[in-house]
Amino acid sequence: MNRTIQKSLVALSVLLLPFSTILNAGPGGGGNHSSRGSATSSVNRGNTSNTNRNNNTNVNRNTNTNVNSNKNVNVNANKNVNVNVNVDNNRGGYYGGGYNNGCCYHQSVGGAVATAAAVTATTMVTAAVVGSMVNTLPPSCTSVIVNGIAYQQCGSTWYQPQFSGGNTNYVVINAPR
Amino acid sequence: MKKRLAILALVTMAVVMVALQVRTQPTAVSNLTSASAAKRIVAAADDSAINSDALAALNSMGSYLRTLKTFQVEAVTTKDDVLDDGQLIQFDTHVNLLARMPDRLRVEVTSSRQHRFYFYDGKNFTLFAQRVNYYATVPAPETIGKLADELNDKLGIQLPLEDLFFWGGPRSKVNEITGAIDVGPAEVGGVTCEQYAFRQPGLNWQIWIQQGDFPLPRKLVLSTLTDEARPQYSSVLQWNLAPSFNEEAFQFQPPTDAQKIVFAGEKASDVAGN
Repeated sequence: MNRTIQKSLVALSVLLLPFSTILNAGPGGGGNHSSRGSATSSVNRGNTSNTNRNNNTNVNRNTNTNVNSNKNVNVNANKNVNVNVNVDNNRGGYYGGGYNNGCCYHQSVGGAVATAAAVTATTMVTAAVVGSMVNTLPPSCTSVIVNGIAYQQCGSTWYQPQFSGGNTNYVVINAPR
Repeated sequence: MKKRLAILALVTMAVVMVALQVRTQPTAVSNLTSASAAKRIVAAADDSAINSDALAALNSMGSYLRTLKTFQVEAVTTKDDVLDDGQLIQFDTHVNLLARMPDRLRVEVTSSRQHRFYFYDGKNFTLFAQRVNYYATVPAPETIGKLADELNDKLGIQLPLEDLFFWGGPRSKVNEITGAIDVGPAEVGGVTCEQYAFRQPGLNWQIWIQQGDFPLPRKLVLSTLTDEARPQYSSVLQWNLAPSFNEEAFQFQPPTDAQKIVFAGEKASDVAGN
């Protein structure tokens, strides 16, 4: 009996592995639905108001918008550099016209560089507050075992996975080592 | 002239009588209405009173449950969540519970979102979340009933079908029942049952108890009254009173890639070490 159970456990875990990936990736679409409670499921437990501790089913993942705008600036800078190459090659009147407006060329390169620098300065990663709780991890986390307990390291932020009520969530903690 | 006056008087009388009739009719109707309303109120008062047969049936079911040494229950349950705006969202769960009284328990809970195992070997309790491959273990008290209370009070986890371990025992809340009705015979999954309805503070609930020598609960429906949306929980139970198992069914053997985590409120340093 035990063997059978163990075998089926292993078989199930193998079967469900792809699902865990999907779950970790988080369901797409939807919105945040928070619930105010749920049905009592025991007649002998007394009048407990079963408040859900972890009720957001669809967590919207925030992509870092700062990084995105930074990319746009880089594209602009590249364009300007291309113009520069063309000017050096001195190919015909079409580009000559551009060159003749030289003031603008230099200005735009300078401007682009300045913008890029400014944007880079604003992409400082904001550290998550220790003690805060999330239902879903940010992307690119690594599972790390410290003293037999599993943690998730996501960049410089450490998360402690935990069972909270009937659900799993993650608490931001100081690095465990 | 006298004749005319007489006719006028007759007509006047007739008009007055008609008018009176018109006026008295609604009064009669409203009298009837209030009479039937009074009857209904009396009937409602009867309903909320405690039917002694219903209460006795519940008690004998409890006593019978407490005679069981081992049992396996497979249950299909539904539970409503109430969104902030009052909309109800129903979730289905399949529960497979194996118990050896008083201190061995294994529960597998499967839903479209979770696949959980509860292991209790009389010493430790382990919750294993198979999809995320996490588990956590805590020392456990000496009986399933105490375990259910501890899980609820300390970890905020409700043991599935925990009522099965409370009916017929000191933790039963039968004494809080304020209304009991014997609804009548009803079939659940091909089994003839008697359906009962109960009221207690914050809860209206119904139970279908198997008729005959094995008074087992076959179906439960709970309506929570503390939320105006009245969310419901239901479970339909299938029983196996001679399950096959061995001791290791209640012991958790972590899969090689499973990771140990903590319960909320536990300190990682307290459970670290292996």
